[in-house]
Amino acid sequence: MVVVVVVVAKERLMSPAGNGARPAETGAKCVRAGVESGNMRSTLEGRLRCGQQIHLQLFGWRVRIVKLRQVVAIGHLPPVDAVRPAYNSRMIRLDSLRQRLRRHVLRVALVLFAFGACGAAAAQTGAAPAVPDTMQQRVAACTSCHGVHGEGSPDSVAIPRLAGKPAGYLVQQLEYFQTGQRRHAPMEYVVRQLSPAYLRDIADYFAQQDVSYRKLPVPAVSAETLRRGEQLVMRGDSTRGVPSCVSCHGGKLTGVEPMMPGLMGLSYDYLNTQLVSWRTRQRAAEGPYCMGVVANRMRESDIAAVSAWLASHEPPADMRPEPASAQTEPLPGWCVMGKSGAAQ
Amino acid sequence: MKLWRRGWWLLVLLAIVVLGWRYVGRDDRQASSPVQREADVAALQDPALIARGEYLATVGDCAACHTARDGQRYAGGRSLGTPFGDVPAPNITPDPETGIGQWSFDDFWNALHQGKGRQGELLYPVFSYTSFTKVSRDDALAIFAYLKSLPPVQRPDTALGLEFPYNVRSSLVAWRALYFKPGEYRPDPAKSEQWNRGAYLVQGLGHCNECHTTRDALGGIEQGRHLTGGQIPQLDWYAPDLSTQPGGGLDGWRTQDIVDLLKTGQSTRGSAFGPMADVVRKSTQHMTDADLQAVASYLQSLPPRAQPAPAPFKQAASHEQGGKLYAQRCADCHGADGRGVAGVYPPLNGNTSVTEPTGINAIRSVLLGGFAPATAGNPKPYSMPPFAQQLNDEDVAAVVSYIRQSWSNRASAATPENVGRFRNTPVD
Repeated sequence: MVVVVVVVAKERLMSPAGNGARPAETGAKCVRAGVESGNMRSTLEGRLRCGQQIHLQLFGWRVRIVKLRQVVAIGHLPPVDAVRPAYNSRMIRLDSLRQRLRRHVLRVALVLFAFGACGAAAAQTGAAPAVPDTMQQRVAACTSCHGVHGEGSPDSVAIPRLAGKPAGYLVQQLEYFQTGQRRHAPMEYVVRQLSPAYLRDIADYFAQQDVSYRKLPVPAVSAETLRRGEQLVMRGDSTRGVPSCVSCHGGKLTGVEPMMPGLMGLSYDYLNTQLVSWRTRQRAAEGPYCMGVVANRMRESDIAAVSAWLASHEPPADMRPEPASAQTEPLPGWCVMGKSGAAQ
Repeated sequence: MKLWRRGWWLLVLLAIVVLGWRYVGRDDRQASSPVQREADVAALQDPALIARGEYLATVGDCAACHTARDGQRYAGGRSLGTPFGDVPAPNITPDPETGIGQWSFDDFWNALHQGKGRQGELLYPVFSYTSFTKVSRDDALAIFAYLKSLPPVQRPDTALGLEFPYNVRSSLVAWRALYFKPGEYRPDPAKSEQWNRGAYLVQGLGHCNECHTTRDALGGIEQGRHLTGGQIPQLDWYAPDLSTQPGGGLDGWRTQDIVDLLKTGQSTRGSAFGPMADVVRKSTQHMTDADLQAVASYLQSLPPRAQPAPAPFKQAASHEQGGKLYAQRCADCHGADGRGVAGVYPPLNGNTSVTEPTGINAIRSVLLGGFAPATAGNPKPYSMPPFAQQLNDEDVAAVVSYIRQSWSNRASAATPENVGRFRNTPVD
């Protein structure tokens, strides 16, 4: 039993100055933060006293809240996914003019919370705070950078979104980080001591997440560059032997089950870095491999153009990867299958 | 003047080498009688012996060194870093050309017990024959039978990464005279069978001393420093003292805590992380309960450690700043009281991984985060976020100093300089 006080405030997620990232949906993250906390007591006690600036801090995932404004709910709440769509209707909106009442409500909330927390503690054996037995709680090492639902990092455009990517693709990448076929030291260290079964669970967790996309910053590039990008993405360049992105990554570029990752909702920096990594073998796979071959056939300016077009393209409403049956065109002959039967 | 001193040092070294040559360099490789040899060859086919060998090879964690990161098991290729250069682990599958296909059991026994190669060459002690010499002949035969039963893998050994003078194998003559005493484990009749089994596993096959003891400038382990803890060269993690008595690194650990940590990667007193997580996942989680109990009972018998005279406790100037960071980033899981959540998040109060002398473990844990190892007993471990991307050196030093100096912890403060030094992520 977890007793939760959810506090929603007018929030502004901090984003690196000048990169143009817009604040995430107002309120949404706070709701999640509140519900997901198994041990909110210290956070709330320490923070609500002054009533002005509130930081909710969960497992290193930083949510900065400026000016407390609304109290959503007090008491037992259903799991986060059930709460999110409904939270608007549960809000008790506080008039910003009634400052005193606001303080009063907050005080009551704290008291109620303390009551609930004591009850919860008494109901359990021992005083240890209850730790939710969920994948979300277990993968704190992942979500502190990639977001609680794998939505990507608000602080860094280089950290990719994981939500909704095909599970097969995600588990393969985790295995590659273990074997060193894909290099990024912090990732390699974190996945080092995990079993294949657990890697699969982690991949499934992020594959099942369904959260809306953030608008990502795009570099200022010329219309000419964007046109070249669009050409490569949609039609490829037969003179250089470069197939189009859509021929493998799905007509909507949202990926294809079970192995082909989507290319939407990723930042220019990330896409650019990955294409270069294929060329320099920081990303690799067994034998001759599709993306490595493609990336090596592209000019550097082509890589920038493709990344810029993909990052600036508005993602479709339905971001789910297409079913495997959607892949009608056969992969090019030089594209070999890797260890797990996936096209590389 | 400096040159002159260096010249002297070389002369002395040369004298030791020449004098030691006759004594240590003599061929003391042991050869068994023809009858014994035939019996050994016949035994190698015994499935029961092979199965026991597999278990023992797991306890000895042979695969950890003799397998490259993306390589085939036991086919070698992992480069082992030492302060003197890199030594690649050889292929120990039974491939006739590149592995141990042509080795007899005598060859294997001499490597394990005497630290000598098939041609009588001296082996580098990064292969822990200083511990393996205690392994019994029966166990060595079982391990050999298992290795011989593996599918052969052709993979030529990588070249040594050592420079002069360390690439001259005979320079080891002096080192061996100082640090190596061959001899099987001799049971102590005054102690129980369980204790003796534990001592045999810890001192011999498990080669715990190779990390859990400080090495001197020549890379040797001094007598009398048995399992007193030390910084692991090149890896830069601190392997703690293993005594459970007052002043020991596991002060207050119960037998069950030791067994839990080795079996599941987690106990109520702490979690395995860094290199120990690897040891638990590949080796100790597969040990039988009887062997784990034996190891724990032996560790319980290690003597209390002399506690250094209490230095005047000086709280870091950053204590308040560290406390704020702790409340924001750590307290949700580890608790404001530093007690953690039993079986989920390790306690920080009274945890010697936090208070060990160097502070490296706490610094690295904050920077790297990560999961406890996934084991059969804890298949879906909880995890800690890495903070390297979020906190600067000053902040990490402040929060590490805070946890090292709060509650009952009274360790030295961490410095931003040290945080910077250990910011790299250790991967092969």
